[in-house]
Amino acid sequence: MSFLELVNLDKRYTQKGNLIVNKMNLSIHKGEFLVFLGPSGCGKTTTIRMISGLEDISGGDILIEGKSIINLPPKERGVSMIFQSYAVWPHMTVYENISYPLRLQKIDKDEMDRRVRASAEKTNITEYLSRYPSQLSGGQRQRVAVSRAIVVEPKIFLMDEPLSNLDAMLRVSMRTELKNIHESLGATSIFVTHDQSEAMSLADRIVIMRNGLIEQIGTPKQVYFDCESIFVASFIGTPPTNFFNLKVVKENNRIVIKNENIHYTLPISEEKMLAPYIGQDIIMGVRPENLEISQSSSDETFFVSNADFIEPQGSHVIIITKVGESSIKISSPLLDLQAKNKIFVSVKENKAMFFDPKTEKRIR
Amino acid sequence: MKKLSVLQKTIITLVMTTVLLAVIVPIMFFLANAFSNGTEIYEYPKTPIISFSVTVYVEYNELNNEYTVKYVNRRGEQQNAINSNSGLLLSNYFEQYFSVYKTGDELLEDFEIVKTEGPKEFTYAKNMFHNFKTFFYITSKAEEALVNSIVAVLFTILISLTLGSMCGYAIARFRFRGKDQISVFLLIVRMFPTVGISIPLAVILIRFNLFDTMLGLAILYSLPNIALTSWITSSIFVGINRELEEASLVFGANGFQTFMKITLPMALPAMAASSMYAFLTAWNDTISALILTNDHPTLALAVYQAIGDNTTNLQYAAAGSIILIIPALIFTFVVRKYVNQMWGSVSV
Repeated sequence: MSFLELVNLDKRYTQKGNLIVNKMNLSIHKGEFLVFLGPSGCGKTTTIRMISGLEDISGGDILIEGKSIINLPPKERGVSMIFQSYAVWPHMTVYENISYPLRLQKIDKDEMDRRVRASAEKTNITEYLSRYPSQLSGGQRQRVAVSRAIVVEPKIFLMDEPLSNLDAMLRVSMRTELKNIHESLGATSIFVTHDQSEAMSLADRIVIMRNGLIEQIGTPKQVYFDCESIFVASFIGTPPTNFFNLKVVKENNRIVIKNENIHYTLPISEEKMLAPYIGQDIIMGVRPENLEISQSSSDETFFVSNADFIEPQGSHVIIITKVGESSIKISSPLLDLQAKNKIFVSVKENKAMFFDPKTEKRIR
Repeated sequence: MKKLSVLQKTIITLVMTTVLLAVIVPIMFFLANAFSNGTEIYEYPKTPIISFSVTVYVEYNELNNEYTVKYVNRRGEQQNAINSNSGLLLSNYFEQYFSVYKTGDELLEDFEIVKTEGPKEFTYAKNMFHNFKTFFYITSKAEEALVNSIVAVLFTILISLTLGSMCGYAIARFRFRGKDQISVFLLIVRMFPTVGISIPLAVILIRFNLFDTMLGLAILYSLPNIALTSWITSSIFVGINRELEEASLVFGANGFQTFMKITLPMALPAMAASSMYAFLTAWNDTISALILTNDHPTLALAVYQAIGDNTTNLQYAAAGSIILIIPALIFTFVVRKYVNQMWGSVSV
């Protein structure tokens, strides 16, 4: 049974305004680390604010353990939240900050003290308990916010871009810590971010959103290699997926996808899938690392081009080339490749993704 | 810091000295007046320095068997004061005109020596509280007026801070129709002279049975201060990150608890500054109190009346003014601590 369930969730800020969140359906399992990923304005923050109760919902329902929570005030929903700005209260010491939720619950002093210290220990801020937030660094304030979130032992942790105000180094170490804390508590977490590497490294499942709609829900591996739509394929991965506008034709009893520069013979195993598209346009997407470079032509050659630029990345190089009008990026382990050389590019078997140009969805 | 040339230094020194003198000299004259005795107050030119003692020149007049007491001012000039051999008269005169508290017997005992050794000067310590005692004595309602003033001030602070901060919060946090007009209108309220409002308000207060009460006065004082408070607090509320309040809501507080425990403490400097303004408006006003009260004056009004009733005893009004200043000073200094106490904003 799912732990948290969103049923046809709608949100619009004004009565006749746009749907910020559009008929969202999602179920989250207990103990899961779910990441909402999407460009800004896609409705991901709005969604978790609706779960937390800070935002009213315009339609649909939110269920925790089968019970609707939409009419409960935030404090009765059993959620805790970590905010982008940390939201650590500056007029209280760290101890007062962490104990604030417990004081409101009127928990007795000894029990409160024990829990505050336990949660401070988990985030390594025990030595700062008597300080004020203004005496702490950004990372330490973030720890206070985390500590305050875990002290209430919530059903669900909501994290609204909690790492985006930290510097790059701290962000990486803090995300490992967040994952650690999540696992040690066996908590259920929802994490909002627009940083895909953060999403990839933290998530059990990623929810990719765009304009209030869910584009794809899946494990980090799925959303990377098995994209549901053009948007996901272009949003995830740096450099992003290369797209080719091609036509499906039948040649010598095999399905071939081609244009004037490009030629790709579809593997037999995938022929059934594209059979309805013969004679139509199609968009083919290939990840930069799924394009292979060789120095000589072969049957598999996808296109022939010149390596215009080469960007060394240490473990691999990014080759920037052009086919027709579109610029293509290829990630290759051939470190000593020279620019301006002629390259023969082929696609790794079964690694091409095909999208319907009208619906922009994956053809399966 | 940039180094200044001699000319710049000179100009700055001159300007600063002028400013300092412009502040200090009137205060010194004022203090000297407040502690003057009945004779010093008529001296001309006045010395802007508080004197702590009185010197008298005493002769014995054998013909009339009485003492001739002459007042010796600080420049050494003598003025005739009293001719008497009655201890009671002397004692009364010394108290009233010299602020010197001595019994008749003590004075006569001191003066005895003049009979044998000739005219002599005596120096007595002034009772520095004489003017204050007399102020309360001649202003029959001074104690009540002090209490009234405090009550009026408390009401004013209460009304203007409660309404003003709520208004400021609404302006800062919510979007609603006519918001801009309201905030401009608040400024317009401040432009009205309170005297102008006092007269129509008197009529209304009489109808509500609030005329001659401190609540009625406080309502008048609150009018401009509600506007001021909402202006000051709204600018502070705007600066308070919304997430701080939202965090409180998520972590178990309701809206009211959040406002009391999170928003209000963070807006404390603004509240302190506003309460200072409210205090000073209510405490120092005389003209509105004159219009809106009858039998229950405020202290400022009582001081004003002390001058009005008896122009010959200016030193008592000055003493009353000191009594008026002290609570304002204390309040300002206590509150000033909070005005400067800004919580560092939570940013990266």
